[in-house]
Order: sequence, then C-alpha cells, then structure tokens
Amino acid sequence: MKINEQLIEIQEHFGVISSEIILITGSIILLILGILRLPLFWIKVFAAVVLLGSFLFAQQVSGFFFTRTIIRDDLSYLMTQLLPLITLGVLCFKRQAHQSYEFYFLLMSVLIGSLFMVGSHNLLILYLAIELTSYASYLLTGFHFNEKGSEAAMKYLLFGGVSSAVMLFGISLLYGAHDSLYFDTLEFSLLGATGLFFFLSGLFFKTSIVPFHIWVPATYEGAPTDAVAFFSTVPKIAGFAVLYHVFKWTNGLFNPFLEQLILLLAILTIVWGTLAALRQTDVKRMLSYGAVAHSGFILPLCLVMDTYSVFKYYVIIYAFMNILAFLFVQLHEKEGENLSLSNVSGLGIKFPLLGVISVIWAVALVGLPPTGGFMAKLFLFSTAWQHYGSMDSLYWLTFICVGVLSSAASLYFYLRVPYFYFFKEDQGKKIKINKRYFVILTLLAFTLILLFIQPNILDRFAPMINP
Amino acid sequence: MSSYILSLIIWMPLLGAFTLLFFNERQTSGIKIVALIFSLIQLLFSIGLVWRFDPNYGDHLLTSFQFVEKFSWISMSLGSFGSFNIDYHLGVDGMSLWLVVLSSLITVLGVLASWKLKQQVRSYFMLYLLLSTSIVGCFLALDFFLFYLFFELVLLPMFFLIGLWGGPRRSYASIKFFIYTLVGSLLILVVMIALYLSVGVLDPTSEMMIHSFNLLHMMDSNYFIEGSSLAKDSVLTFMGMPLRAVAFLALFLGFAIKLPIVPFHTWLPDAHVEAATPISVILAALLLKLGGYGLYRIAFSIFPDAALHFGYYIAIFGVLAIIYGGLNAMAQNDLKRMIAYSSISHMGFVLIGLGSFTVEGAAGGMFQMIAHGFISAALFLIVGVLYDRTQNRKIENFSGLATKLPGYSFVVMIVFFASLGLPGLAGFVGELLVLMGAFNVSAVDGMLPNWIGIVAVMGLLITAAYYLWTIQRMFLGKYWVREHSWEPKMKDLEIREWLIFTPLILGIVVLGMYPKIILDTMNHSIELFIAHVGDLKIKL
Repeated sequence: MKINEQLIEIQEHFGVISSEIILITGSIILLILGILRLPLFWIKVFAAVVLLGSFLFAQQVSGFFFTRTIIRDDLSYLMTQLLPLITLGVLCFKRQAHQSYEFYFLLMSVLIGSLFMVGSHNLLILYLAIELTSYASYLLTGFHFNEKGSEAAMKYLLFGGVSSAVMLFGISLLYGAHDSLYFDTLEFSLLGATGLFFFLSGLFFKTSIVPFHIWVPATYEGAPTDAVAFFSTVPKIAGFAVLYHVFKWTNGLFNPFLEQLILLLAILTIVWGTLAALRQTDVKRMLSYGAVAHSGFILPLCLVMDTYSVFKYYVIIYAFMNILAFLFVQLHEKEGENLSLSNVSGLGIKFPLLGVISVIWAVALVGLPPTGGFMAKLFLFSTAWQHYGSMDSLYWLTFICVGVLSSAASLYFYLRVPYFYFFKEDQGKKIKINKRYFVILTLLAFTLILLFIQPNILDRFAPMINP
Repeated sequence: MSSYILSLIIWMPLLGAFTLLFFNERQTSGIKIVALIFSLIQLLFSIGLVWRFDPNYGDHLLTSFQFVEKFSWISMSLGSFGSFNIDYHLGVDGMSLWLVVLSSLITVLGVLASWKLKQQVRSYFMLYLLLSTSIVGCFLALDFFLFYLFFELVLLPMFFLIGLWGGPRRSYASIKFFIYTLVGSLLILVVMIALYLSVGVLDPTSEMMIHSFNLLHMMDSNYFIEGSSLAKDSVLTFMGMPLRAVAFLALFLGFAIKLPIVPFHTWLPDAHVEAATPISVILAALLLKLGGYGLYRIAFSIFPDAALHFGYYIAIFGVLAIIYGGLNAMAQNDLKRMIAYSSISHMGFVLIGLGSFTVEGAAGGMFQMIAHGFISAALFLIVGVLYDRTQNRKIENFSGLATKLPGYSFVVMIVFFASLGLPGLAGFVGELLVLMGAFNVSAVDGMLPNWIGIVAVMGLLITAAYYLWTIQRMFLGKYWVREHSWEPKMKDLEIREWLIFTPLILGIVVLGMYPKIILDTMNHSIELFIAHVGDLKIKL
C-alpha cells in the first residue's frame, strides 16, 4: 500500500475512534481551563461532560482500522462504554485537597491509554498505550505529596519500569520470531513462546497477578483513595481485556501449557491475595489484597473464548463493587490519613444506613447472595465447571476448589468493616458525611442488588453485534 | 391449582420488616405489635395450608407437590451455556408441610419471647422477620437456586442477631457460625453448579440445551444430559471416587455442618450459648432443621445411588453424634451449653433414620426433627426464664427450685422428660420409629448392623442420665441460690411466659399421645421418598 493510500485510509478511519478523540480533545481543553483558573467544581463538570460524550458517541463497528493497528470488536466497544462510566463514578468522590485540574487531566490520560490498550492490534501500539497509562498512574500515586505517597509512587515506578522493560524484551522476541508486530500472525515457535511469556508478564503486572503484584499494597495504601478506586478498575479491566485479545489470537497455539500456566497463576493469585488480606488492619490495604484475589478470578475468564458474556458480567460487577467500596472508604477518611479498621468502630449506631451499605459491598465482594457479586461468581464457577467437565482437567477442578475455599476465607476479612461498624464500641470519633453521598452510595448498593435480581439487564448494556 | 398461599407464607414476614421501616426507633411497642401481627398472619396461613393439604396427593415423588407456583425469574443467554434459567418455583409436600407450620409457630413464640428487648428494637425485629422469611423459603423452594438463595440469606440476619444482641463472646460466636456454615454452603454451591450443567432438556426448535435449576428435574435421572459430569454414566472421577459419590458427599457435608454432625459441630455450642434466648430458640428449633431437610430433599433425593452406598457410614455418624453429644452434655455445668449438646445428640437420630432407608426410619427422622423443634424451643426458653431473672445459668448455682417456682418446675419436668424420650411425650415417637427402622433393616438385608441400633439405645440412657441428674441438682432438695441478691427476683412464670410455653407443651403432649396427626399427613410423602430413593436397591 502506498503512503498516500494509507493516509487516506487513516483519514477515513477517524470516525471509528470517536470516543478516544473526544477524550483527547476534552482533556487538552481541561488542561487549558485549569490554567485559566476555572473553579474545580466546573472542571469536574466539564470532565463529566467529556466522559458522557465519549460514552454516547462510541461507535459500534467491527474490523481492523488504521492499517490494521486498531481493532474494533464487541470487547473494545464494551470498554468504550464501561471505562468512561467508571471514571465518571470516580469523579463523584468526596472533595479532598489533592484534587486539582492536573489530577483529573492525568485521570483522563490513563483512561485514554486504557482505551487504546484495548483497541490495539499491534504490539507497539499496545506498548505505547500501556506506557501512557503507566506514566500517568505513577504521577497519580504521588498526589498526596507526602512521604508515604512518594514512597508508593517510587515503588510503583520502579516495578513498573522493570516490567515494561521485560515486556519490551518479550515484544522484540516476538517480532524476531514472527517478523511481525500484529497479534493475528502469531505462530508456534520456541522463540515465540519465550517472547510471549515475557510479554505477558508486563500485562500481569498491570492486572496484578501474583507474583507481579508486589506494587499493589504499597501503591493502594499510599495513593489518594479516588486514584486507588480508579487503578483497581479502569487500567486493570483494560489489562484483562488485552489479555482476552491476546489469548484470542494465540488460541490453542500453546495449549495445554499456556492454559495450565494461567490456571496455576490464577490459583496462586487467589490464595496469596486471600491469605495476605486476612491480617490487614488498614482498610485500603485489605481491599488491595482483595483486589489481587479478584484478579485471580478474572484471569481464567480471559483464557476461554466462549465466555465473553461471563467476562463482561464479571468485570462490570467488579467495577461496581470496587467503586462502592472505595467511595465508602474515602467518605470515612480524614484528610491525609488512611482509614484503619478501628476508625469505624461503633459507627453503626449513628449511621445504620452506611452500615447496611458496608454489609452489601462486603457481601458482594465475598460473592454471596443477594448481590451481583454472587451472580458473577456463579457464572464464573459454571464456566470453570463446564471446562472441567469437558476436558477432565485437574487444573480447572483445583481452581474451583480453591476459589470456593477462598470465598469462605475472604468472608472473614471483608466482613471486618461491617463487623467493626456494628460490633465494636463507639470511640467517639466524629465523622461528617454529606447527605448527597448517602444517595450515591445507596444507588450503587441498590444497583448491586438489582444486578442479582435481574442480571439480564446487563444484556442491554453494550450489546454484542452478532450474539 | 393456582393459589399464592405459599408465596404469602414466605413473604409475609418480609412485608412486616418493610412496614417496620416506617416506624421510629423509639416506638418499641408499636414495632413489637407489628412483628407479632405479621408473624401471626403467617401462622394463620400455614394452618390454613394444613387444612387444605391433601395427604394422598400424587403417586410419585416428583408429582407429589401441592400448591405449586412456578414463574420464570431469570433467563439470560450466556454464550456456550445455552441459556441460563432460574425459576421461582415453590411447592409443598408432606415432609415440608410440618416444618413450615413449625417455623411459623416458633416465629410467633420468638416474637413473644423478645418482648422485653430494649436496645435497637427496630433493627432486631427487621432482621428477625427477614430470618423468618428465609427459613420458610428454604422449606418451600423447589428450585435449587431459590433454595440456595434462601439458605444463604439465613446467614446474614443470623450473624447480626447473634453478634449484636448476644452474650459476652458474641462476636467470636457469630463469626465462627458464619464461617462454618458458609463453608458448608459453598460446597453446596459447587454441587449446584455441577448439577445445573448436567441437567437439561433440548429445546426442539432451536436445538439449544436449556439447563435449569429445577430440583424435580435433578431428582429424575431422565433429565440428565448424556455424558455430562454428573450423569449416571459419568466416567469422571475425583481422587479415585466416582464424581456422583463425591457430589453427594459434598452435599452431605454441607448440610451436615448445619445439622450438625460431630467433627463439625463446634460452632453450635458457641452460637447457642452466646445468642439471646429467642435467637437460640430459632437456631435450635429451625436452623438445624434446614440441614436435615436439605439431606432429605436434596442430597438423598438427587443422589439416591450414592446415598445408598454411604448409608452405613451416615448411620455411624449418627451414632457418633448421639454418644458424643450426650457425653458432652453430661459434662457441662452451664445449662444452656448442656442443652446445646443435647441438640447435637438428638439430631444424630435423624442421620440413623436416613441411613436405614426404611419408611419407619425416614418417617422417624422427620418426626424427630419436628418434635425436636418443639422440645428444643421449650428447653432454650426454660434457660431464658432463669437467665432473665438472675443473668446466670450455671447448674451448680441453683438448688431446690421446685419448692420456690412450682409452675416453672412443672414445665421443666415435662420438657426434660419429653427430651429424654419418655413414652407419651413427643421425643419418644421419633426415636422409637428410628430404632425400629434401624433394627428392621438389619433384619432384612443387613445394611445396618445391629450394633448401630444397640449403641443408639445406649445413647438414650446417657440422655436420661444427664437430664435426671440436672433435675436432681437444680430442682430437688433444699431451696438455695448462690447470690443473695437473686432472692427477690426468683418469681414464678408470668402470663407472657405461660403464653409462650402453653402451645409448646400442648404440642409436645399431643405429638406424644397422638402422633397420627403428623404421621398420617407425612406418611404418603415418606413412602414416595423411600420408593424413589430405594428404587435402586433392587438393581444393586
């Protein structure tokens, strides 16, 4: 293809990435508005409008675009719908000192990077997108500008730098093996397998799979809570979507080895995350290990191709649960202090509604009825059992057993927040919570219950082109 | 037959809980009256259910359910699974009928027993009514998903009811209770998923496999998909055992933790002792029955082949529970702890009855559950009476109560003797039937050896020993209480307490004198159950 033909093609394809373009222009304007000293409230409103715009103007098409570097399919459409909405949820968090227009600009940058991660069909584009999300994330981590925040950001940067170097090495090996940077040209070769392994470790870092999870607790503890809610959802879900794409293109090539490796890692992640969470007293740290365990649950869903709807359901529920949990945590925080369990002792008498909401998110994260979290786990285990039944693979059975047992163990730590809320003596700590957050929390909690009673409503969210 | 009586019975308490939302925390008497009214309505409906119940309905276990309600609840398509279907499916038969009546009666009595509660009354009754809804829902659900939903929903209100209104070690007890039973129900969850994927019908038009959670389909071997993981011809094994056997064991363990069986019983004494009186009553009278009912309705009915294989071991677990629970009860010096262990001991009979695979045994086990519902409720209320007055329940702190509290001692005598199995009172009938079943089967085909029945009878001796000993220590002899300050509080039963005890005592006496009421309505269902479960006996 000649250069000018390519240029014409690129020009024609701009409409396909309309939501990304809206976000890019929007975030640049946001930066300018910030320099013009617009009050933060209006900056937030503007950001919300941009996010809604990108949600509404997302294009549902399928195929390859931009000289086959961008792919559009059901999954990437789902992400262009879901991720801006999650970011919108993050905008609703309580006002704290670290929030400034730069903060929201960086938030948008991570979102843009995440959307390009999901849309990329070329290893280099993917690498660039991951770097975009990573750099913005490093900065967001340190936004408290205190010692803890800087330490967290530094750790994140170091681990991130190493993993991205390893990933780049993997990409170069893959290029060497196949002479191509496109996903769909993968073939089986020893060099390719090695390259894939290194390449995946970069993605595992993003999705916090053990043993690439070490940055998670420190970062979650040190970063502002709204940034944590964002990290645990948007870039992570995008990372899983990329894994979904990658496994789609390597489908069967490296089996059964790859499948066994993934399941082993998933089991390890679940066990590690659950066990480590058991002994935490800092709520954010506890939730961070819980989020690691959840990564282990989502990982196998990327592997098996026939489970798009289960994957979709799980990530949406996961996003809801995490936003609700972290919003809840942030509302109880004092400026610049982390929330420890003893800080919520005995608040249940004063705020029974908040106590009930904490029960709902805790129960949802454990995966018990009557919350959407239970449906997500039910679908997940159904998928796993089906694979076990059809392949008689012990790895799947172990995954089911470990998953079920870890649910029981995770009850112990997730339930500690409502436990301290209701069962402990009041320590006379004063916490003020604005009434409108009650409305937001109640709505989110209600949605979680609604998603249990009628999970079909999610079929209408980002429907598939040809189901 | 279209009637919504079952739904009304299930959702009436929840409606009450919603009504309580409109009350102020300080309107305590209003709250209590609302709770009482809604639980009374539920009781009236369940009595109406008995009235309209046809004891000889249907000629096969799968068609013997009455007042069936069935609606599609969730139906979504999930890629390669085909579609995911959950029904709202209720029905009642002779086995669940009396458990429903029992739970609505105990709910009413529990409201009366909590009448003196002072702190956080509204939240207490809301949780209490939610608990009642989920317990009755378990007994009436015919869709596995629905059953599981109610089964899990029992845990949350119970967790808070123990943890917020309990004794000094309440938080430990509530967490322990929650985690133990959650492990059990997660085992059930895995089997439920496996069953769901193994059961289905082929849609003739779209050629898609329609899976369902319908319990009746799961009981019918015709509905199992050929080659699926839990089909009769499945070749899958787990650690050398056929998968069906493993699935049965998982279900058995899941329900047996609730029942409880001996190595997994330790949550029960803690939970019972720490919970407030009405909550202990619900725990003992109803929650344990969920386990037993689950074994009858789900574990045994779905996997009769595996159940038959393990029948002998199940009976051994029953014997173990009887002896171990009895000996433990004898060693306690806390009255409530003693009664908690006696519950474990009595539930052992249910396992022997099930393991015998005879009509007598199964009916005896079922009868034992209902009788134990009445007796254990009364037992915990008896402890509550003493605890209300003195905040103490150590056996050695009291002596000669019979002279000072004659009415109370009269109630205690009847209930204790019922519990130790005196002929003419409710506890006797169930144990007799179970033992008949056990000896019968050992005579017919030797499935259970004779010694199981013999050891179980020994267990009865232990029961008699600790009850009589307690009566001797606490109620006979010269009147004496440990603290002088308790003296003015030692008054006999008041009217409210008589109101609670009267229906229980009446129930205990009537069930003991005239068990025909229950056995006649139950018999047909039990026969169908044994016919269904024992169907394979001939083949083996």
